[in-house]
Amino acid sequence: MRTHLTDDMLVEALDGLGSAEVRRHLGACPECAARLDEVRLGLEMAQAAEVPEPPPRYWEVFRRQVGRRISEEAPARRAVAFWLFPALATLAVLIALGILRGPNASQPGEPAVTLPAWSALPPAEEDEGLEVLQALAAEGDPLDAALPPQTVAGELSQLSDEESEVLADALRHELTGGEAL
Amino acid sequence: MTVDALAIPVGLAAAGPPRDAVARGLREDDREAIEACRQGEREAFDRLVERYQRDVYRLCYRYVNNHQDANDMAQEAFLKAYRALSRFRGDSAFSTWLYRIAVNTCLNFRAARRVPQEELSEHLADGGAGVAERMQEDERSAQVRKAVARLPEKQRATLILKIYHDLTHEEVARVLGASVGTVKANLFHALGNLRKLMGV
Ligand SMILES: [Zn+2]
Repeated sequence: MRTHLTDDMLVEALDGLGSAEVRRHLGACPECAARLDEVRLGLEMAQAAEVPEPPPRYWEVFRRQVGRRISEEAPARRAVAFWLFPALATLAVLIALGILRGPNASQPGEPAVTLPAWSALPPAEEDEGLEVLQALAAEGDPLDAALPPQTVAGELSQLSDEESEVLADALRHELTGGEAL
Repeated sequence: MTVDALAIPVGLAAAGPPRDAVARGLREDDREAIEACRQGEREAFDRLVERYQRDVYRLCYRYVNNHQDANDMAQEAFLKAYRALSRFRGDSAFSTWLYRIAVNTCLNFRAARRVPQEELSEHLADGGAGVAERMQEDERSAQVRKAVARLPEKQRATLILKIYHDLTHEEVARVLGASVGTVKANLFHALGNLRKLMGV
């Protein structure tokens, strides 16, 4: 008895590329013909599935976003990565200390702090950036590392979306995570 | 099945729904844009984005099965391509190289980051006589896309590149860094598994 067709051969047959010998085998062997029919059914199902088309204006936005991210990262990426995290950690702690511990903020029975609407955040336990910020914030007195406000403001204005999210998460943690506040 | 039935291939070359772009040798306009990028003309990259954004988006969509993640993955793929442009040797089509980056981006994607959700496509909302039929088709498409998204990663990547992007087995092998034999085996199993996942 002849050996059955391999998966390779069946894929070629599916492409219409099977040799005459393969075709003969398929004509004579119900098992291989059935296997080919099965994968052909899978192929037909796959071919029928279309991707929803985004609105035409989407592509222009997409292109602009890619261009913006490229322009942003070329000069800023390394410099930001180098000192942004200490700066953000400092800022987060400063805000936590300066605002939350202010005379009006630490009253018992205060309503829960409302999160900023723009903080699309991952769960804190999944966020590696948060751990970095927490570790940095825990090292030494943050006030010693305070940066000139204009420097922080300048840096903040250049944050990418991703970096803004990291900052937002750090702030959220400081504003809500410390129950002891 | 008869021998004659084989004469009508249902394979990649067969007529069917519109396919995404076909990748072959390096296009002259791609070569020019790449050269301009290398000489510091960043705007030239826009031309490459414009040319391939739809294909890359669709490839990513097939992989992650929702608009937001597809958008993120596609943008990430273009950024990676831009950073790596100096390493593109030009011995394949730019699209093949770009697909490789996109597939790798998708392979590294952590699906747990977001709960996948089906986008309600805007063209569904336009009313008219064929809406019910289109909705049925869309529902079917959505089911298949979900099933594709559940395939093992290499099978999924193989199926997407081969079926939806019309790459040859050899090109898929180059994109995935696999042998042609592996690509064929992956495709075979992907199609078989797809059928099973669809409960047929
Ligand atoms: Zn057989």
